[in-house]
Amino acid sequence: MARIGRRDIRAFEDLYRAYHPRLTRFLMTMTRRPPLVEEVLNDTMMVVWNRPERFNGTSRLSTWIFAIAYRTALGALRRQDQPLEDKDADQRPDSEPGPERQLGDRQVQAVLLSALDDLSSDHRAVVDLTYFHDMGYREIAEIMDCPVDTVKTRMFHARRHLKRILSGQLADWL
Amino acid sequence: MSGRIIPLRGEPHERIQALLPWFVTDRLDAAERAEVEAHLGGCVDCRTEERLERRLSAEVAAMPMDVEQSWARLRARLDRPSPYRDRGSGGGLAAAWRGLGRRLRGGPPWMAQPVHGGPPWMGWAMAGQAALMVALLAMVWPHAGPAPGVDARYHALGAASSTRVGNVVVMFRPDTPERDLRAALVADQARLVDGPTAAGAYVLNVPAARRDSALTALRRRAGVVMAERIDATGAR
Repeated sequence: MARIGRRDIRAFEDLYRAYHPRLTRFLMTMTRRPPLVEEVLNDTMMVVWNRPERFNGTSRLSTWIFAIAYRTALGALRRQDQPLEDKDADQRPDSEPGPERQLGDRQVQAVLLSALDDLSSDHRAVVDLTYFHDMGYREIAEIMDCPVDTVKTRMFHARRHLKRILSGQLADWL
Repeated sequence: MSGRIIPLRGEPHERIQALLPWFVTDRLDAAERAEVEAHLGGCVDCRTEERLERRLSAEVAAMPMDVEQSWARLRARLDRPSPYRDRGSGGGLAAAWRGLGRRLRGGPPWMAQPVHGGPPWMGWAMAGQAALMVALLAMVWPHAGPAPGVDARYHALGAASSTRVGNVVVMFRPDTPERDLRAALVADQARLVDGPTAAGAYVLNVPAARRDSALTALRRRAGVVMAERIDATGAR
C-alpha cells in the first residue's frame, strides 16, 4: 500500500490481480448480476488507487477492500432497485415443507445456486464471506458495518433457507 | 438489517448453533471454540447440525462461478429485458484490467467496453467521431455569449447529445443529496455528459481552462469519493 501511495502502477496492478478472483467471487455471489461485477470491482479498486491513505492499518487490508466493494455494490444495487434485504426472511416458518426433491450430487450445486438467488444480497454476502472467504463474524460485521448479532442472524436465516431447499438431500449428507 | 434480530444469546443450544458456521471454518477464538466443543460433546442434535454445516460449507465453497451460466439462468427468470448492456464475460481478469487501465490513463468508463458488442476500438472511434463533430461545429458556428470553453449551445431534446465530450469522471457518496450534486456541478461549471453508470460514476464536461481547479474543488467536497480527469487522447 505504501507503493500504491507513491502512485506505483505496478504495485497497484499486482494488488488488482491478487484481489480480482476473490472480489469477483464475492461480488458475483452478492449481486447475482454479471454485468455489474466488473464495474463495481473496478470502481472499488479505483477508490483503493485514489484514496490509499484511507487504509490506516487498523484492520486487515482485505477487510478494508472488501468493505469498499460491499458499499460500492450496495450503491449499485440500490440504483438498480435490487432488494438489499430479505424483508420476509424472518417471517418464513421453519416448518414450511420443502420441495420433495430427490437430488443427485450433480444437482446439488444447481439447487444451491437457485436457493441463493432467493436470498437478499446481504444474506448472500454473509454466506459467501463465511463459507468461501473464511472470514469470522467480527470481520464480516466490520465489512458490512453492522453489529455482530446481525451477521449471526443473517447467517441463521440463510442457513435455514438453504437447508430447507436442500431438505431432500440432507439425509444423504449425514 | 432492519428485520427482527433473533435472540441468539438465549439458550446455550441456540448460541452454539449460531456459532457453527465459524466453528467449521475455524474462525472462532479459543474461548468460543472450547465452548462449542464442550457443548458438542454432550449434544447429539448439535453434532448432527455440525455435520450438516460442514457439508453445506463445502458445497457453497465449491460452487462454480461460471458467469455465463449464472447470467443465462438469471436472465431466464427476469420478466423484462435487462436494462444493462450485455457485455458478456469474455476476457475475465485481463479484460477487467484493461478496462481499469483505460480509466487510469484517462479513458472514460463507457470507452472501456465494446459498444453494443462491437470491437474494443469502437468506443474510441465513436469518441473520435464525436470530437471531430465538435471541432467542425466550432468552426462553422459563431460563438455568442458563453464563457470560453463552455458549450452552451441549445440542444433540442431529441437531438443527439454526443457533441459534449466528457473530460472528468466523478463518483459521489451514495447518500449525497441531489442538491449537493447540483451545487457541485453549478459551482464548477460542469455539465453532465453520461451517468450515473451502474456503479454510480458520472462523466462530466467542464471548461478545459478550469478543469484542474474544478478537479481540486470536487475532490475537496465531502460527498465526492473520486474525481479524475479523462481525455480521449489517453493523456493524463
